Amino acid sequence: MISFSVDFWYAGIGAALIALSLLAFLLSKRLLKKLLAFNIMGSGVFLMMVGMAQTQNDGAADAVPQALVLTGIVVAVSATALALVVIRRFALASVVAALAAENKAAENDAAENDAAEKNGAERTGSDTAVSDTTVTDTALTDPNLNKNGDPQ
Amino acid sequence: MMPLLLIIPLAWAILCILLPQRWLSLTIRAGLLLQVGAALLLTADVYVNGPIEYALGDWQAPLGIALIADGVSVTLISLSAVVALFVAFYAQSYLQRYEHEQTYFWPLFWFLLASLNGIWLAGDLFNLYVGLELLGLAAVGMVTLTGEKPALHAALRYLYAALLGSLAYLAGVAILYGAYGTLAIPQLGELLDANITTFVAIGLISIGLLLKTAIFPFHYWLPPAHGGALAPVSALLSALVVKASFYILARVWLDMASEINSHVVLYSAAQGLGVLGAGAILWGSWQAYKAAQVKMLVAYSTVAQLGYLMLLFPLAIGTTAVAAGLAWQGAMLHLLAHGFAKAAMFMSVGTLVLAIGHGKVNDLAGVSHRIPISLFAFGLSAVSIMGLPPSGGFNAKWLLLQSAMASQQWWWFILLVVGGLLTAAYVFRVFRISFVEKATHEFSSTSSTLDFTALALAAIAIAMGFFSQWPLSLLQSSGFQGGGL
Repeated sequence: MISFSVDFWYAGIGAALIALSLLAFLLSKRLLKKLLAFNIMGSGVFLMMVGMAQTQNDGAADAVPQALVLTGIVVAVSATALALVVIRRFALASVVAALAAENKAAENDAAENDAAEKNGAERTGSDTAVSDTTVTDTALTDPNLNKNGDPQ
Repeated sequence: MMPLLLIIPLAWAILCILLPQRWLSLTIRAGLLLQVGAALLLTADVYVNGPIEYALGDWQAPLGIALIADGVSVTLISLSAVVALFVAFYAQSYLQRYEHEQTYFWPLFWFLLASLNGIWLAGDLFNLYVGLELLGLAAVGMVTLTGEKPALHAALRYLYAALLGSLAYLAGVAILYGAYGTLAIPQLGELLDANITTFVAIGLISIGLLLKTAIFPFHYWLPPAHGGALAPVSALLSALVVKASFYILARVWLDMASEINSHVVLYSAAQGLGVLGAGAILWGSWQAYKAAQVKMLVAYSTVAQLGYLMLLFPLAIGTTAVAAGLAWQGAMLHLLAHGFAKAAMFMSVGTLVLAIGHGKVNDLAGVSHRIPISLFAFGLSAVSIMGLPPSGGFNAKWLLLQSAMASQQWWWFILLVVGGLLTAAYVFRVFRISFVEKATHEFSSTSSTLDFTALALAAIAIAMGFFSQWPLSLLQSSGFQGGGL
């Protein structure tokens, strides 16, 4: 029943994109990479939607799936925007939390060592500068996302 | 009346962004009353005249958006209007301590309501998808309101689960459209063949919706999101939002696939859905029993209670008409009773947490003296959640039990009984501590609005024990009724 037309290949490539990005979505721990995977998965679904529908129609374009895909793209863009804002806020909150914890640790350190005031302040400063990048890095990955029974 | 149910919340969402702070309170109240009025008028209309169809902007399907109001839709519209009314009054008082959050809460609240109404009224699979996505985005936005790290973390988990769920759903929809060339649920119901394409499509749709409904083992995102949000947000999420995706699941299985769902593949899958429900009841109750934070206890209770809804599928599919009818009534009544009771529970618990300053279950000692009304509201809602008579929860479980007997599936009968006992176990954990006389804590005073709005919703959940006939006759008057009643 299925002919190997151009439309069939659209649908097939769409399905392959879905499979690949699903794998990336489930295996990756980085929040941004997951979001990219979601976007590619969306494109895969849209390709499949348009491709599969056209195989029914003997070459004449079917307007309905195109309208659906257009709506789907708008929804995906909004979802991506929201995700980006939340990821950014989450990364900032993680940095702030980590800095606060570190400053506290550094203060304790300074008190314990009974070091000179200037000395202690310098060390705190340099610690913070180094850890800033590493903290941002860890903030963007989310180890817990895969812990508690990730889907599938 | 039908477009008004979308126009009012959308208009008020924008008004809440534009209007200055001092006008907000009155505007919101006016919007709530209009919303409830429109919901009740539509309910009356459907009750008298039967299902109504409406083509938005006079554009006919397939390109236009068709809205359908039947007995089920109007019941759920009334549920969300009434729950939203009391939650909103609660929130107006509760959010006075959260100046910054307040400015974002109200637009999201109305968007949430608009997308819920859109889902209850949608007549085709694609508009259900759009509704689901809008609902998910509004709900995630509400979880992030406090801007604290745990809340943001929970929101991200929720967002990713929701996005993955909706793409799985959309992929299933794409396959159905490719195979049958329509997305309207009634038409698909006539066209569906029991073949592998259909099974794959229904499978994808179901997995997506299970993920969004937080059915065990896809529940991992729910407790931190519902337990970590502000109290009025938790109430809306647990009472209404997770029900939306369940509603679509029920539509797909019992309405769209009603002709073919006794095919052996779907019949076995329906039993599988029941097993997931059993897992949800046992695991959710156990986690609720162990929870250290009282809001997490209530959130895990939601996981468990959603499990009962899943019993609809094994009880209604491939059984007798009588058993299916009872299962259908029981599940819908459970949905309504849980909606009212769980909103009340999250609201009363929110007040307790506000008063003692944090949410450890073990620090609730003395609560019975200092904030008796909220504790009473918690108690009343707990009666319905446990399924003790007289309450909506009791009637719902009674109907489900009868259905299990009528279809001779004794294992679900045992599950229902054990589930009730487990619920009692975690609820009484709260009572045992809260009735300790000696307070270990300072109490800050809370407004009585918080007490009485929760009490009102809990009272409705109890009253449903006496007036179950109203929603049930409305459900029967029209619309889809599981398993060919």
